[in-house]
Amino acid sequence: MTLNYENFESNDLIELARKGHKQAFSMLVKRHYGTVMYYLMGFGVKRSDAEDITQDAFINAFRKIDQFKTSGSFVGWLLRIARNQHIDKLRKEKKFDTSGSEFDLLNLPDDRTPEAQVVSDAMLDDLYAGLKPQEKVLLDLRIFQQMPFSEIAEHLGSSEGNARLVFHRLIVRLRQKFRS
Amino acid sequence: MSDKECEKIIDRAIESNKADAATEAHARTCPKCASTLALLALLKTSGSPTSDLKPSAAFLASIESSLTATAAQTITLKTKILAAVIGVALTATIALTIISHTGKSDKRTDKAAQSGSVTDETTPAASSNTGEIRPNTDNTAFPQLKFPSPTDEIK
Repeated sequence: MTLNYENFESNDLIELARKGHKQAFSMLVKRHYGTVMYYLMGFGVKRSDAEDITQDAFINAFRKIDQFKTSGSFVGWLLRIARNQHIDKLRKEKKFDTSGSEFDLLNLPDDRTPEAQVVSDAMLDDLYAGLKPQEKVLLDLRIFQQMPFSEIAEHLGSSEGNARLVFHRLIVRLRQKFRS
Repeated sequence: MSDKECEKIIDRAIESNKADAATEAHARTCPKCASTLALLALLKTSGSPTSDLKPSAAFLASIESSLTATAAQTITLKTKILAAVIGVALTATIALTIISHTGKSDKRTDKAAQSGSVTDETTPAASSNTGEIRPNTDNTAFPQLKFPSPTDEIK
């Protein structure tokens, strides 16, 4: 019998994945693929590399799913794995800078090409158009995962105050777009 | 109300996933917060901004095959661990049995030695052993050296 996992709660999917249900885990992959991808791309990782890291992160997550505590955030746990996976990759390539300072959410790099920026800006009817990867992750973690700012800051390598400030500025921007 | 206070109200609404009575009352007097709450409701219905990126069929297939391999590895590892545990338990049981058996026999010997009731099992002949080989004594008590006879090779 094939179960339809579409309507399952994340915690139920996690429980099933713990019992070895690969399809339940695949549903978790479908749900959180975008967040992990944008999260990595927010750190300046190329899309093709981000996909490789995301794949490794999900496989690792499945392997370690018994270690996940359901009281915590699954997405947060997943992002931590992805981040470690990314750092490991950088270490292997000897590109990891351990002296790195705090990541400034206010000065996020905009990796979009000028053409893409023009296209994005033209899509004013789409609220999310033109958002940077890190901003999309910030919105997802705060509004959809209801993660506290302290945890968001930890994941994004920023301070709690910075995460809060950027989020509310983003909300103001979206509100203006929404009004217009 | 200041912007900071409005932010706190919005944060509370996000965290509780709904606007409570106090928030709604505030929104009636604050157009900014009313607009933000309406925006949040719209965002919630339109879905996460990260959901526009979907995994490709090839990506999912690759993940599933890796998961199958991982599951198989886990089963093999579990079997190996189980076999190792059984092996250790078996060895420990055998070792314990041997130790307890040796301990019992040692105790028995010690008790016997302490009580001083060691029975003299030597024969009267042995007790008066002077090291001389005597004729007509029971030779079976001594080890007998057997040499191959010269005819053995011929056979």
